[in-house]
Amino acid sequence: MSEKPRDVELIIPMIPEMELTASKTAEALGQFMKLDHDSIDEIKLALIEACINAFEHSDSDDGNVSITFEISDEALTIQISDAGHGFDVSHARQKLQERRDAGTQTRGWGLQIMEELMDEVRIESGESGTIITIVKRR
Amino acid sequence: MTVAQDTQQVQQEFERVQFELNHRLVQLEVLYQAGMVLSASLASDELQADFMRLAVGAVDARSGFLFRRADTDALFELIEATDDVDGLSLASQALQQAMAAALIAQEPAALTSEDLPGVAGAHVVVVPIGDNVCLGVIDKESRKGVTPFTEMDLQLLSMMGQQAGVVLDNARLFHRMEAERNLTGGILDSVEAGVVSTDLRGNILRSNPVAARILGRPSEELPGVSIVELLRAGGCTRLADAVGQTLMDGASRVVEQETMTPTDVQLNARITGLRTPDQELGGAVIAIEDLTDRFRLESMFKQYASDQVVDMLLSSGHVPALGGEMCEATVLFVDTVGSTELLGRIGGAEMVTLINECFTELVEIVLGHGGTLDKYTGDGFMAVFGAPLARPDDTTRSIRCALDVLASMEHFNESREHRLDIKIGISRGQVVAGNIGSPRRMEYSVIGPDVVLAARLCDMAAAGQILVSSDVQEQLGDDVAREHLGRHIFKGMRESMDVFRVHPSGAICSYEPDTSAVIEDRVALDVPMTTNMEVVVSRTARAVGENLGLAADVIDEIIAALVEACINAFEHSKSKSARLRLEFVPSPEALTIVVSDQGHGFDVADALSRIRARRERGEMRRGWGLELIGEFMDDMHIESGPEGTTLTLIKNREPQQPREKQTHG
Repeated sequence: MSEKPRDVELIIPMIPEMELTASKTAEALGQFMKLDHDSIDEIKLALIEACINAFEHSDSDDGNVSITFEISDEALTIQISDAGHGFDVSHARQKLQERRDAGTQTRGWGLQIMEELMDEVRIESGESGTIITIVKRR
Repeated sequence: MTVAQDTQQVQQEFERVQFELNHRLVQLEVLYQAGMVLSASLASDELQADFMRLAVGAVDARSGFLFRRADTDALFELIEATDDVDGLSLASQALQQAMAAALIAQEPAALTSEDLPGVAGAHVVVVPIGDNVCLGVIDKESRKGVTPFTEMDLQLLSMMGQQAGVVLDNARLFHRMEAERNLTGGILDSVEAGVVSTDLRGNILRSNPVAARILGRPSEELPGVSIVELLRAGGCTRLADAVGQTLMDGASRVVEQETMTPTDVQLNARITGLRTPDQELGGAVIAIEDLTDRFRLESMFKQYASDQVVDMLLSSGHVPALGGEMCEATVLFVDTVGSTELLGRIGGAEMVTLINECFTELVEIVLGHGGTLDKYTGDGFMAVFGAPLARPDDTTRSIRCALDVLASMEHFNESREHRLDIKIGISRGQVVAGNIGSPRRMEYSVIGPDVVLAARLCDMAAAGQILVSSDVQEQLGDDVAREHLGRHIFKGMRESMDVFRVHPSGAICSYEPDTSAVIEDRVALDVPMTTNMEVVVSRTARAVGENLGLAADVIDEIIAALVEACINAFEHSKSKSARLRLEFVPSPEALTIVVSDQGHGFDVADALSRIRARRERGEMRRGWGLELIGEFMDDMHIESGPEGTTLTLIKNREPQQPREKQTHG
């Protein structure tokens, strides 16, 4: 756990609908930061997407998702991390794009939704897991 | 008078004398027989019954009875009667008075049915036996039918009564002496020190088995032997001199660190003058303490561990320290199920008998598996594997022991009217082992968190279940079937613990060691101690509650308790990290929330008492937090110390099926 005094850290098990718990925490933090309703709704949707992605694809050993909410005067930054097997981000983006172009893609819009809802989305993935960072500026 | 008349008279006189002699002979025979019967046994009850039958036969009576009274003012109580006598018919006041009179006069009394209305018989003789017992015989039977008892019968009964009275008094005296001797002998035999008493010349009067062992002579050979000479011959010259001096002046003395050479026993001894009731010096008592390891071990463990364990300890050269020592041990708790309810049904006496019979069998099984009985816990007990002697297979032996204990209970219950069920909890970890207690009462025991965990596992188990911790589970072979029951937070523990159930039959379910199966279902939240952050906590708690399907009012209560807990911590913890950590740990039975800060802690008992005092004085406006939390939750524990404060809140829930985590890729 971080020692930064203004961070909030949440660990949730990969259990169905547990992403809603994360979204409620995010909602409360958005209100705590006095963000507007639309921004809060967008944060909640993006976070839910990130959590479900981790639940479905991480194949994590410990079965948990760790979420850090970093509160600052400029933004709310949320890091969603799992201890799964990770993936090649650029390769995945390329494959998704190809399937989308070919019209065979029906799911897997999560990443795109996150990017549209948030001001910034970063993905780091490796053998020890994946960290998705989503940022909402004030 | 003619010669013929003379001859006839002489003949008649001869026949009368012969009859009388014959009768006397019979009397003597009866008295001899009575003496044989009476001296054959010193058991009062048997004596009285035998004596009554003898008396009935000796005077050809139809029936007989025996009464006794506790003291001179009490009514007589029937203690024995021939089968044909109705006890009720004997309970007349007239008979009571007649017997009381016979006891006072110490003479037999012949009575008739007119004297004793209601007693079924025409003729009755009551005979005193000693000061408190009365024998009665009813109706002399002969070829002529029922006749009164003769003067000779009365004489015979009187003599028999006197004879029996003396024997009964002796029997009572013997019993009293025997009881006192048993008590003294029991005390002497049970003390761990050797004890020898001597007369004024130093000749041994009594000794206990420990003394005989230390002195190296069989107990039966010791009486009459000079203790001073025996000690001097054994090399204990200081002790021999000290005994000699005490026999002269009666003063108490202590001798330390001498060795009795023939038995190689190192000893300390205390000598005390033995005084008669009029304070005359009559001899000495010597209490000898054996300082050798074997004796210390045996006295420490003889009730708790098998001889095998004591022997192994001695051969291993590892003698447990008198103080505590850290070691790794497996702790097993056994508890009975529903004993309170059973106690209500069968009563205390039968319950104690049942429990004693049960534990006698179970403790033998524990000792048989090399376990050490640590203590009885009311209607359960605690055993340890690995202390005082660690063995590589401590845990597997504890499991085999638990399985055997469960199996033996089935057998135990088969032959009994009332079923007794038990449950078992086993944990393994670092413990402190040693003599624990106060100087008045020290016992070898183990303490530590895993002792508490084993007790909690036992509490959690249902009838017939064995629950074990993960440390125990990890040491079990593939042949032991077990299942993972999830993680649980136990009272007084900060971390949630994996719980496993061991199945008696390998066929039920085999545990596959799989790390992915041991995953935590808990939600953890770490927040800064910032104003309004309790709202974030409460929203998260609501979402967790909803996810678990808790009712709205239950969630409201949890939130109310949590908000109080957060504000308390924010305001009072003085935490350097200024952070509060919450863990929501669901189980099928409850949602446990552990709230911990890294503040400076507080004295919980003192705080509660100060709050109570201020409330009673009417000065209390705030500080209701703890009380409110207690009201909202089903259970609450506080632990506080320099490392911080941990508040464990428990809300019970309706039993649910545990949900599975998503594992598909």
